[in-house]
Amino acid sequence: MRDRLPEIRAAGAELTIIGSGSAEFARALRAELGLGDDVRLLVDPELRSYRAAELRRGRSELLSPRLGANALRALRSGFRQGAVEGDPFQLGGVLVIRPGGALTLRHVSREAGDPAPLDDVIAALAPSAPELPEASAPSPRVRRVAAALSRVLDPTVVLSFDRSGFARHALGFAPDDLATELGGRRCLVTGANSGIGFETALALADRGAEVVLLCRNQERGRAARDAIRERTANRRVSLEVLDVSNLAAVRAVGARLAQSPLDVLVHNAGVLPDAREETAEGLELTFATHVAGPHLLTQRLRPALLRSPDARVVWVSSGGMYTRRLSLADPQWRTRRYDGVLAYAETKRMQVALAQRWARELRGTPVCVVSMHPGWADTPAVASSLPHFRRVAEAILRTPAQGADTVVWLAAAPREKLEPGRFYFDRAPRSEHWLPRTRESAGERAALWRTLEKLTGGERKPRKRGTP
Amino acid sequence: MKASTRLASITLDSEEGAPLSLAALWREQPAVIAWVRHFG
Repeated sequence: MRDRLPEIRAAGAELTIIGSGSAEFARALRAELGLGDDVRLLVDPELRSYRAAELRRGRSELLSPRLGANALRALRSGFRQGAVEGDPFQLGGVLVIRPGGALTLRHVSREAGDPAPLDDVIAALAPSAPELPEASAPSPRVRRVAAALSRVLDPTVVLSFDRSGFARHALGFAPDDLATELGGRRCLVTGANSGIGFETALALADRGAEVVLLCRNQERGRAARDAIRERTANRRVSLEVLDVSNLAAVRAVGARLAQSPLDVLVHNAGVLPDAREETAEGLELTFATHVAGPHLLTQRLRPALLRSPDARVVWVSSGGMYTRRLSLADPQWRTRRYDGVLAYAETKRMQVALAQRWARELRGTPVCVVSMHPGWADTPAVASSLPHFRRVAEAILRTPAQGADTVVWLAAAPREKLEPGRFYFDRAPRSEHWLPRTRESAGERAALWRTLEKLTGGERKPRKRGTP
Repeated sequence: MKASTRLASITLDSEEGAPLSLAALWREQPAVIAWVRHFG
């Protein structure tokens, strides 16, 4: 690539070389290759950028029969292998990225000494070079094997909710589902300053959507907003400070946000307190945050959702809800000895039932209401609320982005792929119940609805089915 | 998520120890980014 530097410069581009060794080795490389100051050298001993670029790593790739020919070609071009530092199993690659983030060349080395075709690199710098799709579908055979493995492994729960489960399920994903631009779509995400909420907002903004972050803490919300703007170059990312457990605040902010059509509402904000806490309005905090506040917010935003030709409401629940049955006997833990984990699971069960009830309420409208669970993701909320679980499971937890994947899919995938009222995991509808004892009736869901309408001061009279 | 978005969150050091956000690489002009197996 050194020999083609004049052409790279002539195209107005800059060359950056990233290696996994130390700064000392980088300096030695610069001297050996006679690189000028116009070539950047960066060091990445933790291989973060290699992973982000999805480059290959593995032992078998270093034993390719083509390796000898590659080494000979490198020697002929003047390269002499010296001492090695860095991860010996990590392979290289080349990306060409244009301003705005469009990818026009992606070369992933398949073995050691497998350079990018330099003519292709130069061609990718031309203004007319097409943007590449970001992902490709695995072969039908791979998908069939992955599906068969999932049938065996998913019932173990651990090997479904963990990162291996995501990797396996992802082999069945349709890559085109998220190869979509969301320009003109307006999205609201609660609890968007970290974890799954942040990754959801980031992915939506990355696809061009207008995104409103609804966060409790102004400082953390601003930091998230600025980070998303910086990473996506999307300026239509804004912050509304809102604690969804505060019903008065939900009414006020909801009324303001309902002024414009709304396409996506993601109920993601969550809490898991150790001890029972009440909001200033006398509601138990978990119930207020997961159920009462989101229900009221949906009511307030209903007119804005109905003005969208294709609106989605996504309730981010939890796999923990599988253990609990919907019960309205003591939803706010007024008479029981408080257990934060159980309170969390019970309210997550309520969210799933409520999504079903909302889907029924909005049947025949452009609004599709669904719920989902993200699997076990390594989020700040898990670290602070479930430190023991995180310590034990850290090595197998999903990334927050993997946890957010299905939320983003539900917000952005073609409408015909979604079934209103269904419960999703890894882009597929799943059963809401594993145990017969957790099944509730439509009457119990209706009772939950009535309880919430009464609690949140629902102004609306019941409507006939099928009318907005 | 686009590769550029994933990369944009990463800051790496130059050989002189100066931090650089990868997002800066393609902010003003096209960027050719080459990852090598190692330095050496």
